[in-house]
Amino acid sequence: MSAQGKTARGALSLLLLGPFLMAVFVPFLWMVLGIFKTNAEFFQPLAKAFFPAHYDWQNVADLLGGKWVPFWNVFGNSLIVSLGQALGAVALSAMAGYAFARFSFRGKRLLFVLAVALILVPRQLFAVPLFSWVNALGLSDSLLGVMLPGVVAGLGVIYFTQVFRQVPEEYLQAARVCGATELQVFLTVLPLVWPALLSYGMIHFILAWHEHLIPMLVLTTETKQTLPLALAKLYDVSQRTPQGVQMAASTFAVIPTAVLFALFHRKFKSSLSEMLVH
Amino acid sequence: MQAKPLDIWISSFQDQLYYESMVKLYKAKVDADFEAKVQSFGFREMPEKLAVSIKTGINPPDVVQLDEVLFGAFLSGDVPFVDLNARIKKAKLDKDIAKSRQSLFAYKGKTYGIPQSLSAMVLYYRADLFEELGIDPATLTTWDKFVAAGKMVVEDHGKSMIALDPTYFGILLRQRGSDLFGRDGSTFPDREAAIEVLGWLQKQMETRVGMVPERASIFDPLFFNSAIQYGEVLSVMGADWYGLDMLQQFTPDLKGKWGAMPLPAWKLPDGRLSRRTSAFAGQGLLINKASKQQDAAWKFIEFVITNKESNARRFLDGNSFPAYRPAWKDERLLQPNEFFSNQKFGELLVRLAPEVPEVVSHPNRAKAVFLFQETFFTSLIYGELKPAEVLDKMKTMLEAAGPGL
Amino acid sequence: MPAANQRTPGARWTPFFFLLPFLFFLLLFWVIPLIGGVQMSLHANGLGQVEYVGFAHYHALANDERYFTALRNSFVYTLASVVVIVPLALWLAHLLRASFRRLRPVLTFALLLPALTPPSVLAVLFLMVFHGKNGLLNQLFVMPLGLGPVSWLKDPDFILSGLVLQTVWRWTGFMTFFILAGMEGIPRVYYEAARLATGSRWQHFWHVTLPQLRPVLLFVAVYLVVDGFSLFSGAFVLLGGSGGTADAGLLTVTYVFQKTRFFEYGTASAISVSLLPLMTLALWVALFLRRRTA
Repeated sequence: MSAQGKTARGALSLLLLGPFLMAVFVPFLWMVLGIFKTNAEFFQPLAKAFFPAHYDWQNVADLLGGKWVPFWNVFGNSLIVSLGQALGAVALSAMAGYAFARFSFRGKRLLFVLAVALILVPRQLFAVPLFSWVNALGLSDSLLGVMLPGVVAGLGVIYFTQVFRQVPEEYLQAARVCGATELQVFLTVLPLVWPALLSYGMIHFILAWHEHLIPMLVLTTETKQTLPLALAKLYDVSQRTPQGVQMAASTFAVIPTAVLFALFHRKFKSSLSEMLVH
Repeated sequence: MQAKPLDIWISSFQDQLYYESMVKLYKAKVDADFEAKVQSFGFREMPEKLAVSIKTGINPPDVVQLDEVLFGAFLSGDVPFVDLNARIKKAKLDKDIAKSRQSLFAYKGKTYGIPQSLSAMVLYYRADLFEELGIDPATLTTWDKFVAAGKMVVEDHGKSMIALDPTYFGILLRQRGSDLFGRDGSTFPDREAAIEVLGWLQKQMETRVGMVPERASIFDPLFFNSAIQYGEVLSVMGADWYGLDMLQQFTPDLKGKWGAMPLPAWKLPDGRLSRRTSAFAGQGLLINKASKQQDAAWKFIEFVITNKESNARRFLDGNSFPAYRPAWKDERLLQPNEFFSNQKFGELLVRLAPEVPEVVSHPNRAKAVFLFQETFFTSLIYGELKPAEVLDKMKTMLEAAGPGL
Repeated sequence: MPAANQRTPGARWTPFFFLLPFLFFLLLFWVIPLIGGVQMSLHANGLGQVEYVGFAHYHALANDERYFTALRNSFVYTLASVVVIVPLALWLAHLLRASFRRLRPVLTFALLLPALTPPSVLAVLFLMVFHGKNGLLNQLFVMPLGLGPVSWLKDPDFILSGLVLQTVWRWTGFMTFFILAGMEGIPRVYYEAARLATGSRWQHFWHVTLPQLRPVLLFVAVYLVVDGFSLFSGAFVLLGGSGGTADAGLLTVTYVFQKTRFFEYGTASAISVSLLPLMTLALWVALFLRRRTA
């Protein structure tokens, strides 16, 4: 395709993407602008008061200064729990997915379906027994008690099973011919699926960050809570705490993912360019 | 000396701050060695966390603050709270707490909690608009007169007289001397009264004397900033805490434009007029049965309930009006209130207090309140179901699941 | 040294070596609590010591109108979200690929923003957006057309559409991201081979892209089913735990929540457990059909 044709096509695509980008960006902007609003402004009909009257950083200062919740503590907790869960889930699901994709063994189908079906059951079923079990393991009111149950990801197993199916068999055979052990074969395949590992890690991170039920039951002490949990208590029916505080905290919560995405994107590109540049 | 600090679970952050200051006060006045850990979780999260903690017996708190509506849900099976009857008598709280409120947390002869607020219902009206449209609140003594004035408001000015909310069902029933449940455990003990109240709600919507907020709730923040702010509706029914807390929080620039008056009365079947108030919701303090520090917990609760400062603070900080009668003599509660057009808001509540009806507790009470609110209110209001149909359906649903199954 | 075998390389236990960590944690944190959950479904409701009631809760469900309403709504909701989101995400991914390469990461990230928004913020956002005549949706899109404002949350005819709308808004970008990754992974040779046979862009999409994307699409669909049936997300945030007028928006998760709210753990567990065979069956069908067509 000519350079000109490419530009025209790019511009047209951008134009068509426009409405969707607006639909996602406007609410995001609303959240960010909400940081500066008083509650009275915040709860105005949106079309009337989209922009704040003043840009006042008080809500941000109060949040970071720990006026409402021990922010750095709970933000750190969320980071630890979500990162730990994401790493764990990627490792366990990738290994399991590799086994499901690359080996045949008896009962494979049944095991696969059962493992995955578990995630389709409403989470609340597990809440009470999981809570007492986590407590019996001595993990109540600790971050590990939230993190460890979260490393089991049926979605991840489905995802990685599909991913490893696509790796050409020649790669594995080549490694085996060189005398690699099965673990080494697995490790040589991993770089090929970097983008998949990272994308799944990222979504698991996001889901873990928003997790509510298990942290709510397991974590009690204020400084041990996760960010969404700590924020939940601030808002009751009469809404005395400024919504701006919640908006600021939620805006900050986007940052870790943005950083992950920026890092991840480079990896994504490098493995891609090989395929695209011939 | 305490073995460990008293664990107190609260459902809102504002109340956490309040109880933290009460702990300080208690330490200064009563027991310097007293230690308590006050923790709040969200108003949705707290009851759920509490229930799981009770169910599993893991890390239960000593003292909990619960709303009376949710309290009902804890009544099926073994009640997980301490019966306070003997302690209440000993502390003479049976004399000092408003009579009708003493049964709020009581069930089958036992009392499990002490209410903090009177929760007397009044009619909040836009004093400025009433004056503009020539409505004298003093003449609105019955709902019939209220509706007649409302028809004029709709026809001549295109406004609505009152905002309707699902909580009105129970509130109006109690105003008529009935309730959602009977003392004998029956559901909708006075069927005629219930049908009349539901029919009344439906009728007001039909004639546009009443309006339903967009979210079918008078507690929706946007309702205050639209229908109320634009003057589309002239009045709303609410308990003391609705005016002190919600109206003051959400409509600060309507300061001085609100008025409060007794509810208009119903004409009862026997020709008498009903009382001029009702009751809805309100927080109470309860002691967990699993607590190992029940005496320390009680002493603290007794202090909070009877202390002059603690009662005054709840009113002055814009929370609620106390149920503890000696507090009603506190001059600070009886001052003219700028927010309510310099009316003596506290005095009005004291005047209504003897008439405040009891709320009948029942294991299905919370379920009934939520069921009506979430499922049947809009169907009724928009005429998809007749009042009798709503009652029958609700009754079947509530009675189908007997406690325990 | 294990003998290299084309079908099953390594020793018999090799796959289990890879499965072991996952299975260990699955057993520890899901299967054991699941047993607890099943036990709960066989006991009476309530907080204290509860008696064994056998299958009474399951019997009660069989006659429970609301349970079937919830199942039906969840099914419609999930199906609608898959049917809307998957093609839309495919199209968006295509547009992203066709747009300027330098902008692509920024645009992709922008599409992820709804998924990054915490549910508590969504609750407030949806309050403002789905409100009646003062809501953004009505003010920007419905009323300018000369139509009356839609009561998204009160009108039983619109509640489910409102639910689908929020899930489309929330997850389409997320799914686009996965589909994009899948598209980028399709080796060029396939397209080049196809180009020799036929030139049409549409045929490329139909004969090369779509079959190659099947694994990703399966994942996307399962994700949406999980979100529709078992995660406590959009529906809860939008309706605040209620099923809406006449239960028009009552989903299974909402119903389970309504039961746990009053500590009816027995009933709540029975509802959840009853979904397990349904889900297993659905999954089996999805995987089995995939095999046959592949």
